[in-house]
Amino acid sequence: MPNIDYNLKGCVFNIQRFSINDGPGIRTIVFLKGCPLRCKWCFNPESQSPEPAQGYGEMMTVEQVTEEIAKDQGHYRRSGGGITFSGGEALMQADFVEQICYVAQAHGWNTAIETTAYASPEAIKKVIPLIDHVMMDIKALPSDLHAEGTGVPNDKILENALLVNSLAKELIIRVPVIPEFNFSEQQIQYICRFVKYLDKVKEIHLLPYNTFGVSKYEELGREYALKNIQPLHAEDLEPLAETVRNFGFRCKIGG
Amino acid sequence: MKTYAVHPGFTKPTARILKLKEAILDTTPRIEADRALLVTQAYKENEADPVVLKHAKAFAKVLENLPVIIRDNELIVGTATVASRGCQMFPEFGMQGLTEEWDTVATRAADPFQLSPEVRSQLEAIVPYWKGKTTSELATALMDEDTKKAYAAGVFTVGNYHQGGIGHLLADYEKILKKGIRGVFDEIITAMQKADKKDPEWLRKEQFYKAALIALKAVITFAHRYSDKAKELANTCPDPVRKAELLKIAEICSKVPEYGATNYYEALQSFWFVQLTIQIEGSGHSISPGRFDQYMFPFYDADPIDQESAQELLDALFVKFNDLNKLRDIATATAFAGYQLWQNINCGGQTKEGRDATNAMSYMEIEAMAHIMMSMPSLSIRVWNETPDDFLIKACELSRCGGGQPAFYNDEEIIPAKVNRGETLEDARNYGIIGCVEPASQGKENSWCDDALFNLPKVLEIAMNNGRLNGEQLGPKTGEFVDFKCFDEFMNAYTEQMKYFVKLLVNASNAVDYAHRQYGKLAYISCLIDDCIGRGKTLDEGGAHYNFTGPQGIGVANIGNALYAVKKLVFDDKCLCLKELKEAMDHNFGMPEGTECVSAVSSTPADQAYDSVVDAVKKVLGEYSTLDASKIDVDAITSRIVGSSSCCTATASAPAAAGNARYQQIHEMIMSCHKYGNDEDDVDLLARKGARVYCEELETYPTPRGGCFNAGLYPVSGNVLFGTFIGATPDGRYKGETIAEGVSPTRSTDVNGPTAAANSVAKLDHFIASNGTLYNMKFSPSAVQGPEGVARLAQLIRGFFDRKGGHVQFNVIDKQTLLDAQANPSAHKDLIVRVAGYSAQFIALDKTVQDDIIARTEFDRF
Repeated sequence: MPNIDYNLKGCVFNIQRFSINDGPGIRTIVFLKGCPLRCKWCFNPESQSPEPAQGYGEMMTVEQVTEEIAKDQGHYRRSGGGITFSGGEALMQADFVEQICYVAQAHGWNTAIETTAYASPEAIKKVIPLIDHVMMDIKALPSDLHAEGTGVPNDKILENALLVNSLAKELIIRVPVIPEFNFSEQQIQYICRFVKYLDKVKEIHLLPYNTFGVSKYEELGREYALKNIQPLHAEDLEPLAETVRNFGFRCKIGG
Repeated sequence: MKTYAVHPGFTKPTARILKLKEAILDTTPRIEADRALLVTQAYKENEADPVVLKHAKAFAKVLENLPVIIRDNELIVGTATVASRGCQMFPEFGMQGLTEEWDTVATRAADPFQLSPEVRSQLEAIVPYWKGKTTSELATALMDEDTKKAYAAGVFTVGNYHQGGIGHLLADYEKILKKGIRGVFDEIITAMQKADKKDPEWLRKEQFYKAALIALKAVITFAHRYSDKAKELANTCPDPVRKAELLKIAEICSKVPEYGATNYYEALQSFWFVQLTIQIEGSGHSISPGRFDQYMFPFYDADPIDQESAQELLDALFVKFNDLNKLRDIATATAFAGYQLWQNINCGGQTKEGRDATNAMSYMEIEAMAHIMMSMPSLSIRVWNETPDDFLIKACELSRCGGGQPAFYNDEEIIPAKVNRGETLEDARNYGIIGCVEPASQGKENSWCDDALFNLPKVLEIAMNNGRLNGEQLGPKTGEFVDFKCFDEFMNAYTEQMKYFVKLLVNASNAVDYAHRQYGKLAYISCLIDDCIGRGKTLDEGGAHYNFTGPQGIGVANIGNALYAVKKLVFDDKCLCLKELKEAMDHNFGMPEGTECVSAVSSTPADQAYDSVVDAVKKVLGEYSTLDASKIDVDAITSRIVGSSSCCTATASAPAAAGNARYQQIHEMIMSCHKYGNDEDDVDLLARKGARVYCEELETYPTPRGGCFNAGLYPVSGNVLFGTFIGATPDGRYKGETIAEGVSPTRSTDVNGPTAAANSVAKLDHFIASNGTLYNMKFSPSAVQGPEGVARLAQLIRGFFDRKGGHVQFNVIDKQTLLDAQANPSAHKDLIVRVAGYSAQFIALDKTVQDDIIARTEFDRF
């Protein structure tokens, strides 16, 4: 194993303990700042810019982050939990994530990542082999629709999906289900058809649209694009879950 | 060996169980006079007898004459009162406040009881006889003046045993189940034969033995009366099914508890007679069945009965615990609200030999709790490294049902803590939980474990005032707060004051102890705790194998946060001087006089809560005429600060005083310091130290019965009342505000989630607080949904216990439900919440206690 650079810094905007919906066991989520996407429904808009700004984000060393993570090591030991990288897009800080993963390996902590996979193949090759449990978003198959909702086309993401699939130990696909975007039988079918090509994937999660982030937009002085759209509830997604199951995947509503 | 097949979720109770439950919930508790009249009569007939004999004769008279009642649908019989949930009186221990509450007992906010004019006049007639003859009066007479002052000022209260019997025991039920009462006769007769008759002590011992034989014989008579009654009812019963049930009951009651039980049903009935009669003999509460799964399982295992029928019988017994009730004075009822007797039943853990003890009966206890969902019994789950996962998860499923049950206890911490107190490893492994959270070796220990509540932040306040209490020098002079040059000087002052007030607490406790030795000798229960028969001593005389006195410290979180804020702001960062801080506290952090500081969750005016708190305080003060009530923290009361301070509005007529802005700024500085409950070592370790100072000082004192004082850190619900006695404190707590309960963080200050909070709690020294610690966590149902949610809860317990936390319990109820219940009590009769070491009917709780429960941090967003 290479020497770990404990002094390497990354931009972190939150560390949340006792997370129980993002990977196995009791986990600590490290939210890394910076995201190349601009999803209209994003409920962490404060995470999008890559530097500390407007009171959000802090430059932390690998040592500082892992000290915080270590506080719950007793709970990881008991629950099979560990650390989850989220964002933003964690792969934007692939070197930083890589170093933290080495620390996790040294402790025997489980590692997980939530990613858009909108990243360079180098970043993916660096990080994904170190991760026990990869959760990757696929938001829409038609590239123009994807671009409309997220600000970027999806060709890079779909291409990377194959790479992630080849490197990951375990891969779950997550789909945020957004009204007037992909909240339809057809869109979910498109996604499932694509995911069929990813042989590691046994499970797809459908995440119902929520409006938790709306107030943050006001605080940041930004306009929220989906103002008139009502949140979805688990039961609204039940028919789509059935669709997913018909493709032979396990399906969970909510993360 | 019979096993238990685990399935997810719980089955439905039978129609009979639901009917038994309804019958109890639909009855309004009332006071009955039979016991008090019979006891008084017996005492008058036997004036010249020694107390132990007199009391045994009184007990016998009660059991020979108490109305015998078999209620509809019952399978397990035996009750203390004609009406369900009624209470008898225990005038020999004091009148439980009734003499001051004739007119208000039926209408008071906390635990009201109906009192008919007839019963009232009967009870009024016996009051004069008992004047000057009760344990409570003698105890008061024995306390020294400084002790009384500290007691009245709210530094501590020993009200529990001062106003009633001791209780708090885990009897040796197994002995009766196996050998029957006749077996105990043999034990006594052997002891009498073996005794050295030349020993001058023989005279005293002989009285105890005689009394014990009288008392035990009366218990047999009582059971036989039930047998006769069942026969009589069977004769006129038109329903053949019920008739057969009654005949079965008649047969069982003719055999147990006189003889050993020969099957499961007999064992349950025998158990109940013991459980009931202990609570007729004395007024002490927390008569806890303890390790029920251990002594009951062999009878179930050997019985051909099927699991469903066995479960129904167990459910019927569990409902029966709720048939008993007790009157307490208003102050105690406010602090200990919820018609509770704290009959704590346990399961799981390890055997005396150190093997896993979980058996089919352990699972069935959990199932029974889910079936009845009532406030009694309390269920305690013993957990150790070998506890089966499916058992722990089953228990977590019960937690998720929202009744505040069960509570979880850590064998890996408690057993070494008991050994450290001088118990053998075997006896320590055989601990059960009494009352709220107190571990005691079953059948061998008189732990006096709910001796007192001790107000830790009040001592800190006195330390900040150079030993002055309400302007009077009561504690030692340990230096003016503003003169301290370094943090250690402040810490030393706190430690010195602690030593002094612990000494006064011990004086109060021992006064109560001697009073019970004089007037409270109970022969019957003494036969059920080893080694009273062998030593020829009652419990009160020190007959038990292990003896302790266990007073509880309350407000650990406040102490930790206060010490840290002073250290950080004044001595480390030097951004505040002590004078300024003191001034800010003296001005209640700039809260203008007359400010209504209403709890964030309180949707109704604070007045109602305020009135009941003042009533309760007045009652406590009323104990001592030597004190001027107007001097005693009346400001704290009149400031009307109720509950959390997150919503404060100045009244128009009270303009903010000059300097208030600075005081408020100081408050903000304090609130931005680290707080206990967030896994920050700097503050958590000061909480540990602050609590240890109390525990360490206490353990240096021996008790009058042998053994030593043994501190606990749990609140019952006295944290609400105690808060009203204390001015503003350096943790940012406003004058009169509730203090933190148990070892839980101050509410709404633990913001890093449950693992961080649990880690902080685990940093305290639970081993030295060997009378029990209490950690309350609240989850909304959404936080623990699905099989994963239950598994996480179980993992959280394991993780917390790995770090040697002692106890944890969960309230799984959403805030809205609680608010609805406050607004609409009648629609929420069945809402059970965890108060503190016990569960209670939410609507029966005092408003202040309700608000406190609502405000405890709710971990929802995860």
